Amino acid sequence: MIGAAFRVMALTLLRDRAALVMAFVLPTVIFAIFAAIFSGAVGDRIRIHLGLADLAGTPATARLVSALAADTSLRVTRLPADLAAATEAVRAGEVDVALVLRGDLAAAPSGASAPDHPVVLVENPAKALATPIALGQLQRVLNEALPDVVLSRIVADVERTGKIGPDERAFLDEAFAEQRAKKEPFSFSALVERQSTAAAVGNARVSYYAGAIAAVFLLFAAMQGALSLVEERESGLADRLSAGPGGLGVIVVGKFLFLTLQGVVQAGLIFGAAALLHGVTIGPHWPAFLLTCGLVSAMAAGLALAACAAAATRQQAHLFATFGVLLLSAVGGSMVPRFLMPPWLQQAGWFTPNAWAIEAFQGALGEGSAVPAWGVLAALALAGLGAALALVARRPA
Amino acid sequence: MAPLLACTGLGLAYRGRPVLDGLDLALDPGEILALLGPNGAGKTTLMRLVAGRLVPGAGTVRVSGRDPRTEADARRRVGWVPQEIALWPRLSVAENLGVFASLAGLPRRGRRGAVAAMLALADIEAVGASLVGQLSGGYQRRVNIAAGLIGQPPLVLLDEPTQGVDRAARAAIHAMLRRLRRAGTAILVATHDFAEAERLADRVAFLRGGRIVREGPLAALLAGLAAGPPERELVLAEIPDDAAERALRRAGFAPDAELAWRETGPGRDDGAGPAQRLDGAALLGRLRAEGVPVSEVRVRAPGLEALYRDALETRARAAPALEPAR
Repeated sequence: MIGAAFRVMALTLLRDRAALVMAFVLPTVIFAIFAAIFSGAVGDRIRIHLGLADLAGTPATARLVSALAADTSLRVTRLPADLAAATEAVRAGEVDVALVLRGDLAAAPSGASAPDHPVVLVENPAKALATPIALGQLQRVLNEALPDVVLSRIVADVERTGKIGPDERAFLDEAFAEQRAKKEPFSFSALVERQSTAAAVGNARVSYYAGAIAAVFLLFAAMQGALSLVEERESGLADRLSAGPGGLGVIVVGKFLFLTLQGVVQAGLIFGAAALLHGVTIGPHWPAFLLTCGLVSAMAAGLALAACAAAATRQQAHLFATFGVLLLSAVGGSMVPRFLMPPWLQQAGWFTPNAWAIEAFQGALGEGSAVPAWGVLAALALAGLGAALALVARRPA
Repeated sequence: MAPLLACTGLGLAYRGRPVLDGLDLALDPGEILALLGPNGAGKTTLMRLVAGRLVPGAGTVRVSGRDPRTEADARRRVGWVPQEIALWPRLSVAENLGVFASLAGLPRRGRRGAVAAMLALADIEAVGASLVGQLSGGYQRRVNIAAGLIGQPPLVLLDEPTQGVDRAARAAIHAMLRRLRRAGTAILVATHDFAEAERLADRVAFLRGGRIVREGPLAALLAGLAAGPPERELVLAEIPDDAAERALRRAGFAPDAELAWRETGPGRDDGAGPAQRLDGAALLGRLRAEGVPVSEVRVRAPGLEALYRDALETRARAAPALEPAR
């Protein structure tokens, strides 16, 4: 009897070409689009648009401009040598943030008065995130490409304290210039070594947003499939099926199994695209990956069936399918990474299935443990299925 | 021998108002019982109780001695055909029947044969591969009924099985039901169609306000009317004016539909006493002379409709009952 309900779902989907395309083509298309958005949002490909105006025109500022322009993590546009023009470019949105080099970066000679702040950063409050990124990148490029300039400013500071004299300062500046000319590395510019938590970089980087996209897509797809429960109720089919020997329970279980299998295929398609486009490695992790796909799909199927069983009308079910899933996905990190959210919202995310789905995929494909997330997903799936069964049994004829 | 279906003292209230009130009903194998009554009389509610979809507030329902509400075996013995076309529109006729065969608990190897047999019984073999959603209303009705019969239940409940179908489809459905009766299936059919009930039913039961107000073998009930005068109905060419309406009422007629007036009693002569009953031609001439736009006088032996009016309309009216929500 459960197989009969499964067959109805399969045949109905096969006969509806549009639904079929949406079920099995849309996952890869959605993933490709969202992956492009997410890869920027998680910081992997944030390339702010930096405006540069060199008012000073000194050798040091010219070196900085060249170094910034050559940096692959920035998109640089040269602006006219005018602070007002740079400000206007930021205001007009032509660039996200602008650096105006109005003085020489090297320390002023002994006795000369040093101008305050040789670099002006022009920021747009609407793009506040660009400011710390630009400052960080400026500091990094200064350290990497102009270490002699950085050091000369430090030495000038020491000279002002009276610990060294002008001759010693000149000697040090000369030594730094020689070291730069010989292209010998400065120790402080190699102060930080980067280490990743992930052995396979693609998995850790992409599994977050592949999991996030899979969670939201599976919830939407499951809601779409579970809507048949409402349609069958409105057409009188549910009433008729309830009068059968197996009751409506076998129909709900059949739908649950179909939606779970459909979800596994959809998650497979999403991660297949992730493997092809973003180098995610599934092979060595396939048992854990498959279990995660099954549990996330079962969770989506269970919750969708419970929502449709609880909905009194088709409109109510549609409302949950759109606003409910959107809300869960937004809070759960399927739209924006949770680490970018306020702390209280990050905590609230643990009450959404999306957050646990993401955890499970990250754990299954990375080095972490997916077991706690699997437990939560299994509990949600069973609770959803149980609620759906109880609701269809209790609903008056 | 115990009847196949036995309803005893059946009662059900919905939001405090009685829908069924102390109803007794029995049905034997190979018997067709027609349930007649106005909307809200409790016909569909009775069927849902027999199908095990509702819990009776009082009394019992037994199918082959078992409670269909609690025993799957009892539900397996009932084929419920609801008023709605309760089928999957994107599945073919044969696929729909196959799914219902599975849900009825038929073993896998027997399903193909059961579907073929049902296609033949309902005379729908020609559309077996067509999607249900693309069929005409008449074919959909036949498939709807066939889906309820696929498990070969000994008791079939039909809720207005020919609603909205044309004459040919209706004849095909009636032929199917007669074949079922010959095979020993008991059929409980709720209908508003008197002609259908007359053609099919062995017994009729009139429901009003959740009670059976008259019930018995159709032939015996009709025999009781045979001694009475024939029924007469007037068909008017246009809506009568006030003077014509007064003339019609004086002649003993009352409106039945917009352009149809039915004889309800003896007419009155000018002295307000009972008038002599005129034959059809004389009645037509007199009414036309009085300015009534009569186009036709119909005379027929009293049938089920007369029984219905006698059973339901001439008795004290009960408060309209509510059907439980679906």
